[in-house]
Amino acid sequence: MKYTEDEVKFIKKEIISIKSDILSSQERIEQTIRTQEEIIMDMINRFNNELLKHKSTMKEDMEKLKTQQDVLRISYTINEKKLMNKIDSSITKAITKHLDGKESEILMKIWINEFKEIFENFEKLKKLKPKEFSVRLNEISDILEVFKQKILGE
Amino acid sequence: MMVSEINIKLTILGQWGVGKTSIVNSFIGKDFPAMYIPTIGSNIARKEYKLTSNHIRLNIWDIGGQRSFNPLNPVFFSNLDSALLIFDLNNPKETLQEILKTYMKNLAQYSPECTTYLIGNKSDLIKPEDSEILLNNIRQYQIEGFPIIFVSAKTQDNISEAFSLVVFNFLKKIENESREKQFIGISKRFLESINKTQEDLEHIIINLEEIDPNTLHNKIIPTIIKKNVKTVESEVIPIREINDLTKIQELDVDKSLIKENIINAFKNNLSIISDLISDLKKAPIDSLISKIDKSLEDLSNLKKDFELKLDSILKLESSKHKS
Repeated sequence: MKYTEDEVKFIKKEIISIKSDILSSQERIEQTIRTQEEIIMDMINRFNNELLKHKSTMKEDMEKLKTQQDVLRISYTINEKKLMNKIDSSITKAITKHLDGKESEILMKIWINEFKEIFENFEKLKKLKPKEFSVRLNEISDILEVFKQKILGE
Repeated sequence: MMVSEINIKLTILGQWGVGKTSIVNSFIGKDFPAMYIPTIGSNIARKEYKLTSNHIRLNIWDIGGQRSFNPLNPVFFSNLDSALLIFDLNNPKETLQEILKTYMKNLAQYSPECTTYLIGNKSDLIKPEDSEILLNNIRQYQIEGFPIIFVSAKTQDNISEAFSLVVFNFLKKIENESREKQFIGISKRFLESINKTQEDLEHIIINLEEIDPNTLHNKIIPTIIKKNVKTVESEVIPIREINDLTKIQELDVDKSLIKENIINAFKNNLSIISDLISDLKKAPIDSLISKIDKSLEDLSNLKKDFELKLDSILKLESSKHKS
């Protein structure tokens, strides 16, 4: 089939027009992409800037927090010690108040309990070997010495 | 040279208030108390005599006479070598009756071999006009066969002689009964160590058969009074029996002094156990078992005594709160 000259001209014209459309469309798309690229880059830059800004303040805040934590830790230690001392003195006070004038009775009572044990095991001395016998007697002497000193040292 | 140890267990018995503790204190050099403080349980005192080859230890168990503190506990009467039964020359009837009625029976039952002496205390208080009544009372209640000695804990008259006589007679007894070489002449060596003769010691024994009431006062009046040496006069506070320590505030007795006395006796008894243990450490192997058995009896006594003392302190404390 053969096209007429006019038809060829028309087709050529059409092709040129399509080409032109494509070109303009391509340009438009390219422009849009570039714009979007710029926007994104701008956002990235802003983010980077913000991040940098925050990073520096965060370091400062971290330092601040660290200092505060140290202060708190020291203060806690001091307060804990103070509290422990207070508890200690309160307990001592309460015990002293409770024991006031009764130290002798308490020592006597402790000795009686200790002595009961010594007495109950005294007969067993007969069955001990000489070395064990001597060790046991020394043990009793030591216990006695402690009580003598405590009761005498009141 | 081996030095052998001789332990003498002497118990002081008698009704409350007759002066048992004062006699012991006077003997061991403690001051005469300004007021009556009852003995709770038993207090143990020691007197030691060191001879060249013997070490004599007189263990004096002073037993509280207040009935509420159980003075008739059998442990106080067992294994005694000697006993001094104390009565009050100012109140002979009641205090001798008490000896006859209670202490003699227990002594005969638990320590029949023990050498016993009747000691009349407070000779400084006897008035010449009371001599005859006193003698009659003593004759009426005299326990046959026991030497009688009059002493004064306050003026210390005849005190050291009475205790020396106890030691001397004990040594004479072991000298006669034991054939061991170490005991030969021990009583004589003892007399030399205290610078006395047998006559000096036996001179203090009162012979009721021969004594004349008219001359009794001159014989028994304490030397210190004879020489007219003034003793410190203290206010006479009537002695009272204490039945319940929780009600002590009703009596005219110093509670703090009683408490102090109990604690001191407690400490003293701890030292006695220390000595007992150190004796065991030194004991020869062949006598160890019998020593342990003997120590056990003393420990049993001391255990009860510790408990009694603590109980008494608690009662005194409870009386403090009530008052």
